[in-house]
Amino acid sequence: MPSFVRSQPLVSGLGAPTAVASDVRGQVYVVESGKNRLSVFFEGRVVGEISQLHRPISVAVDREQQIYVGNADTGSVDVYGEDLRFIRKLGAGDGAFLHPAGIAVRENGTVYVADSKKNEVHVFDAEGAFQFAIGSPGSNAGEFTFPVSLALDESADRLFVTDLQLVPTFEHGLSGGEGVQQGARIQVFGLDGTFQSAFAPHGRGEGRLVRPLGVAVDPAGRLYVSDAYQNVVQVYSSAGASLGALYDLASPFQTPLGIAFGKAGNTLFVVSQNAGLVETFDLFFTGEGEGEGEVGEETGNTLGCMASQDRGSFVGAMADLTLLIIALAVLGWKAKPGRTPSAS
Amino acid sequence: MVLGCACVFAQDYPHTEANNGITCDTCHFIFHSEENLLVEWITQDAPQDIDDTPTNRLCRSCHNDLVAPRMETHSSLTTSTAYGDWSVECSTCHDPHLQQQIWAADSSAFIYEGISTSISATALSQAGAGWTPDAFAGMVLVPNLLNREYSYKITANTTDTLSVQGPINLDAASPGDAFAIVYGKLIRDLVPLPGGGSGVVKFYAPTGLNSFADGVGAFDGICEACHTQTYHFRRNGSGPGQNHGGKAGENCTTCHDHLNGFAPSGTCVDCHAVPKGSRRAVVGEFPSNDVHGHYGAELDPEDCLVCHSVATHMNGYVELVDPDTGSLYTFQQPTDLTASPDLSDFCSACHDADGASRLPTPFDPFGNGNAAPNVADRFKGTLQWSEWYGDFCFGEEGTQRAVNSHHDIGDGDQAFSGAKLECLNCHGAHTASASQPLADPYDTVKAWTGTDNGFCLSCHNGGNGPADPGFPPTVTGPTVALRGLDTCDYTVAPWHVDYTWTNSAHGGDSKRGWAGYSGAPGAEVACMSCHDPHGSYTPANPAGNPYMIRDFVDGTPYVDDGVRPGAQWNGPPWETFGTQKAVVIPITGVEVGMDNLCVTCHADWVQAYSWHTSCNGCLTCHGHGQTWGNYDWGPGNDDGAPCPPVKSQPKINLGLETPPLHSYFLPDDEDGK
Repeated sequence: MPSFVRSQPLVSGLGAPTAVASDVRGQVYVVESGKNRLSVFFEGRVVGEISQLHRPISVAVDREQQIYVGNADTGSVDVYGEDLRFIRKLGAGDGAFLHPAGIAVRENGTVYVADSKKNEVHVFDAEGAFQFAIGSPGSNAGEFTFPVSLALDESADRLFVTDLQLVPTFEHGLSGGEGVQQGARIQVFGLDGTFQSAFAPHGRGEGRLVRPLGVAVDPAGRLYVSDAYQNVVQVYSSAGASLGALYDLASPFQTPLGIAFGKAGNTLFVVSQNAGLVETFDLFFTGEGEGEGEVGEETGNTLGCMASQDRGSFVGAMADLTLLIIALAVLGWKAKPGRTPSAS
Repeated sequence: MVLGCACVFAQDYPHTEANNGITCDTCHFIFHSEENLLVEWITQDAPQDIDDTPTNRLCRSCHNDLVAPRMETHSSLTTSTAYGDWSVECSTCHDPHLQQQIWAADSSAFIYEGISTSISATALSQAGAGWTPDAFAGMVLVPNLLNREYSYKITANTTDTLSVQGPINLDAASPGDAFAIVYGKLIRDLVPLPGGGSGVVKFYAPTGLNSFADGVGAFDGICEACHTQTYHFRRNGSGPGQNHGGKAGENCTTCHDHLNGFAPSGTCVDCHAVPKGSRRAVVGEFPSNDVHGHYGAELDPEDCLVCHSVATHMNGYVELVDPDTGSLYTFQQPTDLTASPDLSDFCSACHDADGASRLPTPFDPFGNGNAAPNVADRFKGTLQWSEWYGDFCFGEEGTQRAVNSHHDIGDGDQAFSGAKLECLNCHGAHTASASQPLADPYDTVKAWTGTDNGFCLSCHNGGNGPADPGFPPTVTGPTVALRGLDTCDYTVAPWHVDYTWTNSAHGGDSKRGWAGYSGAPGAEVACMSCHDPHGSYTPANPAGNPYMIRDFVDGTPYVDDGVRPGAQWNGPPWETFGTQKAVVIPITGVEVGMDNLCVTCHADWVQAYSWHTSCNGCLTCHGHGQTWGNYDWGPGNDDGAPCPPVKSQPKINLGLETPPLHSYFLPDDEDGK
């Protein structure tokens, strides 16, 4: 179970922040779809800004401090230099993507872009030329349904992709349901796009995901996944075992989205969209079990608080009683009472 | 099995299984017992603000721009606290399960209604429909009006075929069924009202009848169904500006974007980039080197708020914030320059000695280093003077005209003279640039494109005579008791300063511009070389000069060595010895000391002709450029010819109750040059 020291938010008063990234110098980059801008922070203050973006929803920074911004309205990933001047657009430019929801960049400049509406991950070289695509629409291994976030663990030759894999309806014990429903999944690919593995912790409660819209990897290979539905950040070992969750009832996440580690390696930034801020956590691991071991020095920050409530595991618990109540309610709802067509 | 099917039937587009597998489980935790079957940490986490409600949290878990378009809650946090603290949850207006408007009783609810000729799992056609391609993309198709529980998103359309996000249930619809296209948006047909009860909603289209606020009949647009205190579109029709200046039936979200919680959305620039209805496209009025706002940079919406208030924006008025006090000035149209309080007070509150004192940087209001010049002090001249206004032809028919030492802008000025001019008659608040501060006096939202002198003459051109001076419509001339004016020729100077500049020593076609006149600098003297329309107040001359003569004149641009071809052309008075000097024009009894101005350039005037020694004032003979023959002095008509009868000479006669008698010394041995 990770412990954390929760610091003051990096920044507050944002207009619908969606994504966050950090560079090797310790600068933090935040995009706000509600204000169509990217802001650069260093040591708690704004040191740069790019405005008049087009509903930015993703951001990444490479080792040369080149900034990659995914814009939903133009369907493009725009590249800016360290001086915040526009350099180029990836691939075909505007319209190259339907929804560039996630971006990750390797040390060598190779860029991965998750196009959540094309259900593909596109790979570009350091000059922005398209190289190849990973995946295709679907929910089988190596396929995508709304891939939305990416993270790289280059030392382990791993690319993590979260998506909303379609699963059989009512997979949690309500057999017989027809069709499919939205799920959640984390797939692991090699850096060359080869499918390696997947784990699908769909569901509510400890270790499970409903809307995994942000993912990051710490130096020890642990995964941190923001869940916009449960308002937590779930933590997994490199093998996919649940290590617990980050949340703070004193100041809960409000739609956690983008997530990124800072220069120090144990500082985690989490966009809390509807709080209009970027939360800052300093993480450390104690105790026993897989994935243990400190990933950073304890800060001694007295503002911190430990996870104060077990989000619980409701899978299976109370299921029978609840199901009965729901079934009765829905059966009565089927006919849409009071809705009789009166014209044809 | 039954439960699964039931859930699918109970959902309309976009919350359908076909749309990325959205089912009951996507939102609800069916193994739990929280209200609305929400997961407990959605219901139990402490609300962080009034918009942070369980159902809003649920909606935002998808509507965050990463999964689905993000919208902002309609609340006092996103709009205004003028009506207290309030918040309208997403689900107040939207039913996440059903397109309720599909179930309206009348066919007016449909964007289109027809009979299908073919249908498949992903398309429906009506032969010969003649639709505009993609006109219905994003709307909702009901393939069979007898089975309205089946509806689908229209992804595209051709002239006769609708493509949908299927699969269409072909057991519930067949060719030949009556189908409909519905606008959608999951709007409820009954919404709870702030004071209790519920209101009927008819939201069938983005504009026109049964849209956001159509302003007709029952107030059942999705906006007007609820509003009870707003300035516009109240549900009982009592809004002070009920129809929002004729905007009934328009798409409210054009300006009140859901992205901003329906607050007047975006920035000033966002809305005012293009004209719409009565909304001006003011952004295009700003040149790149505008003195107000984006001086050398792109227009920053924040700059607009330096001068403008949006506190009651869109109530049909434009409001300006006093640079010193923060009080508001209100007007409607750019041409409404006679509003009270005087708009020029707004300008002068910044263009004065203390700048915009309410701002942290009074002398850099836009943060671009562009300080407002102190113009207000120029207008401090106290001279209010009844000029005798006539000429010798009138005898006692002349009259007096009340004038100030500057243009008639202040209330006291206007009360004295009857004339009325405002800063914005001459200057463009939006169009003023470093290179062109002037506006077209006939269209003040456009920059003046003519010459500087042409700008002055656009008013001072005499018009059609004293009874019809031909001023621009927003300019009011001085009140003059006109009498007996039909006895003279008033089409020439100086009645309405009808200076055509022809043949004038100061004009563009003056002798200085003639061929053979070497060494003469610019032929046309700028009006502003001698005049300052803002006045000439200085502590040393608190009354200011008459005729808006400058307090300091620089004649150096017009230095002329007087060298002309042929000996007879050399020498006085052709040479001008331009100097720079302070100018005070005294009014003493009947005399106006205009010579103080003229000698700034014409220092040798006394020596030019012997009879000059007996002259009692330059303007006795000389004007701006009377068109008497080819010459630029008053009484001459041609070389060696006698002057015309005195009675026919228009003449400025200053400050006299009764015009004085003048003696003219006619040149008898010179050629009249």
